[in-house]
Amino acid sequence: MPFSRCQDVMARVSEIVDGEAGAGARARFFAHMAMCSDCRRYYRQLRDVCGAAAATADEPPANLDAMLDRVMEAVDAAHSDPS
Amino acid sequence: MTSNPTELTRLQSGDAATWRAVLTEHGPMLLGYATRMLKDRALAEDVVQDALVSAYRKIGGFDGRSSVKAWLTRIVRNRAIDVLRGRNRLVEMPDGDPDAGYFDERGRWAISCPRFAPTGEKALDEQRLVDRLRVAMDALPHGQRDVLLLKEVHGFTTEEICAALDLEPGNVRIRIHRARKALRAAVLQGATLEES
Repeated sequence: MPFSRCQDVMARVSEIVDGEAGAGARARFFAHMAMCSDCRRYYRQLRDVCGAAAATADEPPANLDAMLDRVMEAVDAAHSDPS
Repeated sequence: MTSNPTELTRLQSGDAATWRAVLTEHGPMLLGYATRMLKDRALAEDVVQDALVSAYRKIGGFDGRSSVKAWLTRIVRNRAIDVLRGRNRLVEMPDGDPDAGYFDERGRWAISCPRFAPTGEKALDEQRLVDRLRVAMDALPHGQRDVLLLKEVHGFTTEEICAALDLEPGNVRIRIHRARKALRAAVLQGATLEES
């Protein structure tokens, strides 16, 4: 039997997107989706937001190696002088 | 996920090659995360550098119950939060629900679910969605921004986020869901602005 309240369905969207919902809950969720165009739209929007959020990542900086070198220098100094 | 015992032993003995390998593997993620938290690349570099040196000094006390990645993230995150707090830039969690007004007393849609794309467009193109999301993510309160960055941008599992941020799984899930709803609402607001 599908979920009957749209508000309850929408509260579970993240669980569905993340694959954390059980089989029963998934079946009820998608049974509701088949009947409700507003919930379908909301679900797609949240899913698109999740997918596109990953694309907001920055490129690694060109000077990352220099920063790691500075860390390693500090690590080496700390290793030879543990005080 | 726990640490690799062999790797942890090497790190704790100060093995430079293992440290370099770990920093090379996780450095880009840590710097990317700190940059988005602090919204300042140069400051983020300083914070990450300090945090990693601090990690080196403190690793003898690390019990290995979480992954090294989560442990390093936790140190960087705490440093970043200290900096934000020191500059009065910590944004508190909002009380309001971005979806307020969507549902009637029976829990059904009171209005039709609004569209992302302005009227006349079938869908919002991906670049505009990403651009809007970047602005919206930067505007999230830190308690939502950090879980979302780790989850969506850096691919952390819920378990890793719990270890990195010292949160319970249920709390992480709630924050992620609220953050996603806030992002969706922000994208929607962008569509409204484009129309006006």
